[in-house]
Amino acid sequence: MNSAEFLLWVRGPGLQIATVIFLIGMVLKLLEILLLGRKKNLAVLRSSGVVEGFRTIFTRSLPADKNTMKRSMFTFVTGYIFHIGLFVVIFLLTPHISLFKSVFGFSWPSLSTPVVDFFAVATMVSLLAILFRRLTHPVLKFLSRGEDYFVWVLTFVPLLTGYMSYHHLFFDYNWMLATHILSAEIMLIFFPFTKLTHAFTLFISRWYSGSIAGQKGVKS
Amino acid sequence: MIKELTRVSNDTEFREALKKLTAEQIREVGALFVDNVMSLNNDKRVTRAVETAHDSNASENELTEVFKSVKKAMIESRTRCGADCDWDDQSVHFVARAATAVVAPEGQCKAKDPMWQVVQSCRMARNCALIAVDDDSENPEAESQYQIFNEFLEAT
Amino acid sequence: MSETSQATLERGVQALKEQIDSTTAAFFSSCTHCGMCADACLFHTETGCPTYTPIHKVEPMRRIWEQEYTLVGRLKKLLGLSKKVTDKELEKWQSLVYNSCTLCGRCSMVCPVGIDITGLIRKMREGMVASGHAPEGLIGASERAVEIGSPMGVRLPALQAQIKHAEQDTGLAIPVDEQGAEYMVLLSSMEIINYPEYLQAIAKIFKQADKRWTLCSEAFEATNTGIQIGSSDIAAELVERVVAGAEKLGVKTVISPECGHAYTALRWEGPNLVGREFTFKVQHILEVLDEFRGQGLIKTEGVEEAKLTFHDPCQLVRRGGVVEQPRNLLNMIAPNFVEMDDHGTMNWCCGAGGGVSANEEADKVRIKAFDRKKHQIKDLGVDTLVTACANCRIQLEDGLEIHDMDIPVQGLTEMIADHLLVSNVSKNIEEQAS
Repeated sequence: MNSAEFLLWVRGPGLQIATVIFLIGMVLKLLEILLLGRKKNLAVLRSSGVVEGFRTIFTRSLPADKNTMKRSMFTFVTGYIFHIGLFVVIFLLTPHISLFKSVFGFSWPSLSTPVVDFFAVATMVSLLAILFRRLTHPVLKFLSRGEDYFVWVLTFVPLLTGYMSYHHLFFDYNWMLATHILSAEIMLIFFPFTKLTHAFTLFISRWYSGSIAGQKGVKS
Repeated sequence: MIKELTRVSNDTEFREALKKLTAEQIREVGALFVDNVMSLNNDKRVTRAVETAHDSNASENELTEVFKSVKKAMIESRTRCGADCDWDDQSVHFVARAATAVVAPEGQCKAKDPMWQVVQSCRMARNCALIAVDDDSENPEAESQYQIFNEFLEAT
Repeated sequence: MSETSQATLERGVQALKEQIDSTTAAFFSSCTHCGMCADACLFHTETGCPTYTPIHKVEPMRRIWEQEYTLVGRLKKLLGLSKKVTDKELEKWQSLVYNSCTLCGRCSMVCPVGIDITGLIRKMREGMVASGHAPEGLIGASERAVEIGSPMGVRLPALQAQIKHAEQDTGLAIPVDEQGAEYMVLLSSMEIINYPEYLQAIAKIFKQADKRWTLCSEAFEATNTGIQIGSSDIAAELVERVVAGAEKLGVKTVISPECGHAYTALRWEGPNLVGREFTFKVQHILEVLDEFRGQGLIKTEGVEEAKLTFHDPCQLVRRGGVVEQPRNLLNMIAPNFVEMDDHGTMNWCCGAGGGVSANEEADKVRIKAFDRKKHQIKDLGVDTLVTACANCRIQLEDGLEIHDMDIPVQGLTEMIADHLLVSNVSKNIEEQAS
């Protein structure tokens, strides 16, 4: 297989396989969660908790209070840098938007590529800082399993290969680009079976927490 | 001032009369009340505290020292959460509570009214002792306290 | 021997499976191992021990969820690639789940993906009990609670003696088994034994508010050891007794006393434990007092001059939703009431709730955890601490004593009673005396 065939494959069958697995996997994951159901709360509730649940989906994006932010400053800052960075890189880069347009039929404005490039670098730096911390901080070192490091690699490689492609670094552009696309597809394939599911399930878990607290009259 | 006080026979009179005592007298009378329940005590620190309270020559340092140690005794003798309550041990706790209030330096007693804390704690100590032996007769401590107080008034 | 332990491990695993619902699944699906929960847990912040990381406390349950309720997990199990939860493991988890966790709820407040870690730990305890891995102190307390009616062995005669003492001291009658009273008051064993003044305070306040209340001789205990140890069966049994008493007397409201978990047990878990709605209201004493205050039924005089602050009992405030009431009440009589930096729903646990104080094996870490509260108090520089939970009170007093801090700790209900307009109350003492 030469680079052109590779590129063609990852853009065609590869993308299809990855997307299908990702979609089926995520739907299954959501069903796995929701079909378990839960018992009705028979206590006299201060509120149904529905509104509080939705509220918490938003408010939980910020730390509970100033002191909590101070105590978890590193996690808060690096976490946001790489999440925002990922969002910018994935959704505001012209070639990515073209891809979405070809699949969904609509597009949106992009950010100039040098700007996105900057975000990509910030994201990678942030991820490296996070990896370092995961390897050295007593709590994170203790908590982390193989999956945490695997997911880190899954997330980092697309960023790195994308960056390398754009800057035509080291390798032939086609190979680099194909590798980049493949790495993104691999990430999609593993997505529903790792903690990456949090990207979707966090809406459910935040809602549950918010409503559980809201039923008791606690703003959470 | 003391000559104006009359004998007490109920809690309303008792409270009023106790309010008129000086700080020194509070300690003296308090110590007498605790003496009356001392038979329920088994902690040396409590005994020492009350002995010091009786000693009119006791220095501030000595009082502070016994205060610290009897406070510890009070905390330690408390029934621990979730444990099977031994009412005799609990009795010691209340004697210690009373003794703590007696020797507490100015402003250090937790209770709003240290004198009443002594009175209450002694009664509670007696109460616990009664519970311990399944005795449901009236708690005689209040009457004893009136008697002790009246005798104290006459003596001065 | 191995057959019995196999049976109990199986019961433990089964119990955990039964606890898993959609919330559990959503939570476990979302954890990214960010470690923020550790930053919020006083057992971790004061010891630096990573093992106390809240989400770690439920790891065995997570594995069971994965192996039983996820496609990937079930596939891995089929292929022999998954690690089964063992009895030894649950044994190891006992100290994590019972010694270094008070179910305070702070971790649930800070988790960025919204995991109610506390709720998970509560569920985890069900599995621990069923597998035979709960602390001795709590097991003993549970047995006493079920057999005697009180975890600390308080029988009716003892309560009656305390009632007599209270009547003597206040000059007020303490009603027992009054049919049709509006309020049924529960007491915690701790209050009956260590803080008998609470009952007197209730009598005085209700007299002034002119509200009909009663104790119930068949159901006076508020402490629910079942909740502490994590056994729904025991918890339900204890709640049923209260329900039976309340229904027999036909009361409108059952009042949970100054105790943390008792409120959670009855108010929030109660109906779910017994599987039916209550025919009566459940309120914490502070809710009732605040209602009286709002209706102008409590008249106070004088103020507490001291600079004081309120320690928020976790099960009452953060996990119970009774947040403003203590503040409203304190504002009546304490002009120098100041808040801790982290206060209200984000206050720090005293370190002794959730069964920790009844667990001798947890003594060392409980005392260490108190350092957090110590710092809070020192930073604020107050003369008095006020709280509304007998267990918190004991821990606070113990902790302050150990650190040579001479700060009195007061119960809020007693403080209110101390400030009741004297003319109303003493009038009754005189009436009784003459």
